[in-house]
This record gives sequence, structure tokens and C-alpha cells, in this order.
Amino acid sequence: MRIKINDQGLELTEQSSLAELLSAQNIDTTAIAVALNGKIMHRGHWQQTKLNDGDTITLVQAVAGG
Amino acid sequence: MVHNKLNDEQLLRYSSNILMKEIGEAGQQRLLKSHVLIIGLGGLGCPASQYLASSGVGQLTLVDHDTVSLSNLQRQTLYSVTNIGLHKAKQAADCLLRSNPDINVTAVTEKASQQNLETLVAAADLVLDCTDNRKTRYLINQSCYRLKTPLISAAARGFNGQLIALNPEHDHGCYQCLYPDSVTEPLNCSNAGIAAPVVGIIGASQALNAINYLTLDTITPNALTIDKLPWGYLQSFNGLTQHWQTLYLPRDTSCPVCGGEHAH
Repeated sequence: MRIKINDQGLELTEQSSLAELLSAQNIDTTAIAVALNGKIMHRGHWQQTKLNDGDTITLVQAVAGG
Repeated sequence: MVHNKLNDEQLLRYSSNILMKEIGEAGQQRLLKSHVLIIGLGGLGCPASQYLASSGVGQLTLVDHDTVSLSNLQRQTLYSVTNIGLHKAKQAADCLLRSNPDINVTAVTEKASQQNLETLVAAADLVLDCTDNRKTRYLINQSCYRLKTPLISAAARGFNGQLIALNPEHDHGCYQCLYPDSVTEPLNCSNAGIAAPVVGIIGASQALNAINYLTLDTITPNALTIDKLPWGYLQSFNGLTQHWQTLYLPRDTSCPVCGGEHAH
């Protein structure tokens, strides 16, 4: 199964959830928003969200400056 | 809706707005009757307030407790060296009024707090969050949702800028849904740097969203409202690739700010 994280392709060998992917990729999830196929996924849904072939994941780091 | 006629000077001053069918004379009259609250008069607030003032938003309230410093002048284009040490809100108000004395500008030099935000937000038609810290961003979001006042929230750091238009009357998420961790203060412009034109682009985008919102239904008055704002879409700008990315923010039904009332 092939997915994309921030425009980088990634091959997944087994079925995984969004939470498992973020953990496996050692992504610090503090102050980030995670979107799946253009829609931001709330933290409470990461565990139950299963990834599918062709999914696009976008990580957005919070910025606060102005 | 009955509008006051524009005088000759206003017809000339705002002629470039009036010439566009999307704004026209009715839209200009709406702008002149509008009140926008701008919180933070730094890199975002300078361009945002400048475009709203020059476009003829009739009442601007500028909130910033900070004073101008030399390192601000890289991006905060309303100020000059003679303003260093003086309150940004007052200096910005003076600068905007020199350019457009046809509008009212009020400077508030207190720090935005839960208490003063209630009064300030209640008086405004629209709020622009141009602040430099997460804590105030959460407070502004809370006040806007409590009072059901639309909010254009923006932030920038390095070469990255973010913008989201939030309407408490709509079904999308709020700032709290977007970044629920309130504990961590991410890097800001002072400690991580900021590319001046990036914050300019984002601040100008806030002004554009504001003008589009305030002139909302002038294309088809008394008929179908044309909503020109991308409500609930986080727009993220990468200043290195000059690429905009748009992500939809659904409501988090467990959100303490917007979730309960609108939970399905």
C-alpha cells in the first residue's frame, strides 16, 4: 500500500491506523494538525482511522507568530 | 437597506472599490458602516489594518499593549524610527488616520484579556487575530464563539503563514479544534525569525477576507447571499515554494469551545 506524507511517498507493508503511522514515523504530534485527504482529523479519531492505498497525509505545524 | 449617500470626496477616494461590481457603491457604504477589531499590530496587523483603513472600513479598533522596537521595523511597516518606545496601537492609529482621515480609529493599549475581549468583540462586526501568542489566540477564539462574531485568524513564522476564517454560525471547527494542545508555545517571530513579505501576504489576505465578508451580499442585494469566504478551511502558505495548501477543519464534537452547542 502506497501513501504520501507531506508529498513524500511511503510504502506500508501492513494495514495501519493513522495513529500507528504517526508513531512508526516518530512524528512529534504536539501542536500539529493532521489532515487525511484534505480534511483535518481530530486526535480522538487517529486510532480508529484506517489508512488506504493512495491516501495523502498532511502534517501542519502550529505557528503563533504575528 | 437604506444607505447614506457617499459624498464627493468619498466617491473619489474609494472610486477603485466602487468601480468593481463585486463592491460597488453599496459595498463601499457597507465598509464605511463596519467595525473591525484588530488584535495585534505587528507584522500581520500592520498590513491588515493598512488595507482596511485605506479601503474605508468606517471603524477600526486596534489592540496592542506592546511598544515599537528597532527589530520590529524589518516587517512592521506602519512604524518608523521615531516611533521606537511608543505604543504600537497609538502609532498605528495615527499613521492610518494620516492616510485616511475619513474613518475612525481607536487605539487600545491594554493587553487583550478575557475581560476586555468580551466588550471589544461585542462591539465589532468582525475580528482579526493578528497576535503573536497561542494564549491570546485561544481567548479570542472563545470570545468570538461566545458572542458569535466571525474571526479571521492568522499566524506566521519563518517562511510559513497560516490563515483560517471562522464563522461561529457555521458547522466547521474552531481554533481550539485545530490546535487542541494549549500547553505548548510554538516558536514565534521573535525567537524563530520571519520573512517580512510572508507576514505581509498573510496580513493582506486577512484584509481581503475581511473586505469580502463585509461586502458580502452586495452583488445580489435582497436576494441570494454570495458567501465569498472559505469558512473553516485552513490555508497554509509556504513562502519558499510559494504554494498554498487548503485543508478543511471539521468541528470536533468534543471541543470545549464549539463542540457542545453544535454537537450532532
